[in-house]
Amino acid sequence: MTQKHENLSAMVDGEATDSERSKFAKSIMNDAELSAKWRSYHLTRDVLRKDMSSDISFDISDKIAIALHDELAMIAPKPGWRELPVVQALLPIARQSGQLAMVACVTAMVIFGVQTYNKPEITDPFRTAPPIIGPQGGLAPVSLQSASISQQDRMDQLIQQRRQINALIQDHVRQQRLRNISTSDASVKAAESNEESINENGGSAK
Amino acid sequence: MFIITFALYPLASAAQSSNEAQTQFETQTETQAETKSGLESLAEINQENTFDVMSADAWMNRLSNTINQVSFEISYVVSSPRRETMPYVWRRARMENGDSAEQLSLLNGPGFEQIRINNKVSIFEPGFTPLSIRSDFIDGPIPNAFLNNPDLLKAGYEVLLMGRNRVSGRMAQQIRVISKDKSRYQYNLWLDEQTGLLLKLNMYDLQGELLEQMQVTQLSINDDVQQYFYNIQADQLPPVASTQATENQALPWTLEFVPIGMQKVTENLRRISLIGQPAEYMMVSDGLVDVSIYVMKASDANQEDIALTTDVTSIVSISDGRIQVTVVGEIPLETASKMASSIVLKSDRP
Repeated sequence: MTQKHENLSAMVDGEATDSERSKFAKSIMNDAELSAKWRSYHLTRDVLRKDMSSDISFDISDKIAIALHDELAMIAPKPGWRELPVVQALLPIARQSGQLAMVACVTAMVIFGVQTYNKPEITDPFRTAPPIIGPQGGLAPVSLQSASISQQDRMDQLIQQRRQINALIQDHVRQQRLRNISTSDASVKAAESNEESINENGGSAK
Repeated sequence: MFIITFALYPLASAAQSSNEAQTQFETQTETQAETKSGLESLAEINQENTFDVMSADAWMNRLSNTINQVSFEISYVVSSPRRETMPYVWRRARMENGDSAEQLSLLNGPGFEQIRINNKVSIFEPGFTPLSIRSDFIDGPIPNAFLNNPDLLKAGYEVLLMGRNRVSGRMAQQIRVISKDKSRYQYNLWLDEQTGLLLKLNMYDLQGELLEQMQVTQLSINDDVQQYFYNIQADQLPPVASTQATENQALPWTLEFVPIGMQKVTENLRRISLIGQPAEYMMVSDGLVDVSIYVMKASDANQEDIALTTDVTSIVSISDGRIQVTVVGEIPLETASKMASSIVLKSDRP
């Protein structure tokens, strides 16, 4: 029994090996108790990690049904009582109160359930959770939203950085070319007169 | 023209697979077909200079003299460990009227072509309007200092003769070029014993890892190359773009560390095109490599330091939150960051 639970817990935590997983998956499906545990473990994990999706609907209908069943069993009078006149007179009241009790019970159940599941934080230390490594105080609250914003900023920065580096490399190449020009500045004058002769020659050569 | 271009593709791929045997054979047959005039002019060069076989400088001078005096066509490939091999064809001719004509074109992809007639270089680059600039040489994969001005190397580098080697099927002299303070990349050149031309050029980083390799696959010294340039109509080439060199201005800062032989070439205050940010700019050079230093106001984007290297070019950017110093150049990362962090205000200097 405990072995089963341990296996299940390992699997939910993602600590099970592949072979264990495939073997154990079948037994979960076949075992009603295990599959119920499976669901509740996942729900607990999700709550702890705060990544419960908004559309989550936890199923408490079966619990209510069970509760109703118990209630009915308790308040249902044993046969023979009804023959008594006092009881006969009381019966409608009892029935009524029974119904009231029933409604109250469901309400309490719902309230209890909602309180349990929507509790903002679990204050009790969770023993099976792995110890948190790293600094544990003075951390800024982290949420999905702010993380994505800082990531965006980082991307923008990287793009801008890359743009700047490219611009500088291009400028470097350009400056090298310009330098080559300036080193040949001295011979520009001589070339100017030469060029005219080239143009003439180019024409005639063709 | 097309025949030559097509013939080069198998050569380029052969060299890429480091199967040099085939290319060597090709080189041999090509160079044996040198015309008389080519050999004659070579003989003249050798007579003109009393040539000292044991001097590396003499070999380097012979290279630049040969390049400037004979007509030749050379096919070569440039390869590096992390990039594709690029095949080039390089022609140079001394025309009958004394003009110097040169062409360098990249044979793979959409192409990149430069044509120089005397000191006008026309650049044809796909995606850009053709333009001409004033320059004495074509800026190609082989550093200009090796080809045209070996004296530029003297300030920062040692040029050493290493001995004979066989390259591209021919006997060659190996020459090593290392920076005096071992702060820059080092080079090995192999020069053809018979013609003096460059057959192979290797570039290594400080740890001796090969960064880039240039290997000649075809070489022919031939006055027929002139024919090619007769087909170019010089008056059809794009006009020279008017480039206004920014006036030099003294900057308030200086570098405490520059590699030996590097000198300040330009310093000014400019606006960087593309990002439109003003920057104080300085270029230092040792004749072989140029290094740019940018000082600009730090922005949010560059709060952290950057050190990047793309095969040969290093980019180091450091920031103190107020100003940002960026060094760009074909130098090892270590040297670039040492330069960047050595910046001081002139007024702080004793």
